[in-house]
Amino acid sequence: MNNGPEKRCWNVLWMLPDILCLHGGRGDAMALARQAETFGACIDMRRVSRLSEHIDFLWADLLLFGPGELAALPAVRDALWKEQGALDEYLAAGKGVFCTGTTGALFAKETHRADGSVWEGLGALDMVCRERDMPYGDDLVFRAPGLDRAVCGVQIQMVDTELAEGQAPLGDVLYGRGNGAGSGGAAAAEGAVRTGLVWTNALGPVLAKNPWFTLWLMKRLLPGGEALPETDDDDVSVQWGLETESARAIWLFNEKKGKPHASET
Amino acid sequence: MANARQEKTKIGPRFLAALWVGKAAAAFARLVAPSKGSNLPGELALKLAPDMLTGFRGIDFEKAVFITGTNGKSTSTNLLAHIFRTAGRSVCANLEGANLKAGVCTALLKRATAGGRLKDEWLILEVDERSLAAIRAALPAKNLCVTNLQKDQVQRNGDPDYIYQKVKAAIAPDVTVYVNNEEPRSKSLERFAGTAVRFGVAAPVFRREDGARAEDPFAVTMPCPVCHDALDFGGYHLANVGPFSCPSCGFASEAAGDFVIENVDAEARTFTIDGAAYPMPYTAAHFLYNYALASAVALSNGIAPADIARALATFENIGGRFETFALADKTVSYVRMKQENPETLQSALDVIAADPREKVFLVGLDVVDDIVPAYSNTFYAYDCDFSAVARGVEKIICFGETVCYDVALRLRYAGVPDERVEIYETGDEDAILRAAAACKSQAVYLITLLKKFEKLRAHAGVAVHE
Repeated sequence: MNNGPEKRCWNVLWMLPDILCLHGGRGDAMALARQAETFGACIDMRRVSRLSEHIDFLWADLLLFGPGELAALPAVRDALWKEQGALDEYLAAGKGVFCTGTTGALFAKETHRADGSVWEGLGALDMVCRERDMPYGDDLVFRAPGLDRAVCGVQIQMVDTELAEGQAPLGDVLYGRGNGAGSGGAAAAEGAVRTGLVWTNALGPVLAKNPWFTLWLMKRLLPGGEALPETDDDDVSVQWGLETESARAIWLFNEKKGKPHASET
Repeated sequence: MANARQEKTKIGPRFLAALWVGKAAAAFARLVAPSKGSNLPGELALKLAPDMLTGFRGIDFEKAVFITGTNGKSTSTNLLAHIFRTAGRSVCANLEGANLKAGVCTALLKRATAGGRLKDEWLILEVDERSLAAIRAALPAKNLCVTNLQKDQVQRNGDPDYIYQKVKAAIAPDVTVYVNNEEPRSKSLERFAGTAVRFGVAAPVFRREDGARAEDPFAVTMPCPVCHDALDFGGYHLANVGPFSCPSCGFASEAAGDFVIENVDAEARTFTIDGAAYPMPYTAAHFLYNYALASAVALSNGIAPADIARALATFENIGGRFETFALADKTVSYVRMKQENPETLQSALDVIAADPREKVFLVGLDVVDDIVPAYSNTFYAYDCDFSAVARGVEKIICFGETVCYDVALRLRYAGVPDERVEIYETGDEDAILRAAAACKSQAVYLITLLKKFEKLRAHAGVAVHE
């Protein structure tokens, strides 16, 4: 973080946005920049555009991974592997990574494709992904620990994800499928988190639709972010009127549908 | 020459029973329920004979053309059939968009004799991407056209690669594939076919320059379908359609495709291919690729340029141009788009932005309820560029019971000042129309679902006079 005389500024590497480019995910990059400005801070965002490009982990405060195609993820993994452990060091230092959608499989131990093949992920999250025979799309609402408001989005699930025992989910599903098939209560788990690494199935774009979640992330993932205001700050709540109304309208819509469980989907 | 396998197929009583039931259903539907006539007869027939598609005789698969892809299937199929018919060829085609197995079966049984022999010389079928491999297994057409493979219907299709794999599975070395030279996924399928014919549009026509990328720090392109690295576009005719190259693996559009539209003159409404001039019935950029595809297939199969020109001069697209209705002193222009399909939404936005007048923009994206569960997806709006529309509007009215706030939020991210946006958390047609009527601009553009447009049109008179 560059602490200038007036404005805090964080460095964000937007990872391969032309490759991990699905589902309006660029809206999360827009939201990070906009929300930071709302709090009197700023985001210096740079792209890592190509697989062969050097990734400046030392410069970055946060790596942003948007949703991408399952088919592209092995190539993205190789691009990260070529940095010879730099990502491991980055994660070990507790620096921030935010990842959405199917790209979560990149950080899994392994992913089983529908054709029977298996590819090894980066292993930063202790979980296994299995490609679904058919995509599944629905609304997704979950609650993360320490966040007093629900996070509202949609999910396009290409893989089901099983978290290993001890692997913390990001939150609990209030409506939707979350990580999907699994035994017992696994259906209620949404996403995964390991120190500075946060992955969610939620699309939307989730950071644009849920500025309270964006703030929650910034406070936890960015150095010095804890100094940002609390979510119940009155002035901030006023600015979130549109997003609050959106969450309310969609909650009403979801209530009419009922709550799906993994066994039903 | 008729396909030998088909000629040798033994026509069993089950096939004939299914055929006659289907024919009876088609005749009944023509009289009683025309809207059911493009699908229901085939559905019934397939229930009686699930392998029915393999039973039709007299099909020359060298003269069978399948048209698949994300956008432009129906227009291209209609245009191609119109060209062949104008040139005096007899054609069996599914022109009403029924592109699954039942729709294909319906088209065939309607044009078959009582013994199951196809009466027509040519078979021109729009085929759904997900059904393509199964339909081609039963009807091994030798010509396959792929308009484009883009983001679409994510609840069903997931991501473009999911559909790409399904289309790829239908391509064999004995297939001639017609690919879009400027759409990377379509173009890349030529690797798997015996013969490839490339159609395209020369630059620069209706070109959205890549300058947008420089101005918009959040602009994104797409991964290379061959090596998955980021593609470079030299410009765009449409979203992610334009001259492209992959710096990593070298995959690229050709400098010139086999059939290239050139010299587009929007005022004179003409274009040329190989120096021959053709009329251009519709001038929106996406139509150029329909013209290019249909001309490529026709010219490759012996249709004369003069016949193509005659057909283009009389072609009427199934979706029409704009559909409009009057609202007080205003004209409301409805621009079609498909939910969860950013390319069609972007095309609609481009049409609106091209009107230099100050305008009112009514937008009701609504929840997606094609399949269960219905859901509130609007993220495809973030794949589109709203900035051009945002610059020329008096007011943007977001309506709908669930996602109106999300649409307004997208507009805020596009830089539209909040005071120019009105939100109506309702589907009430009168309320929406009164809000539009209260604005001073005479030009009103509407983007919403077709069924909502029809309700709004029906209420237009009531809203104004109350």
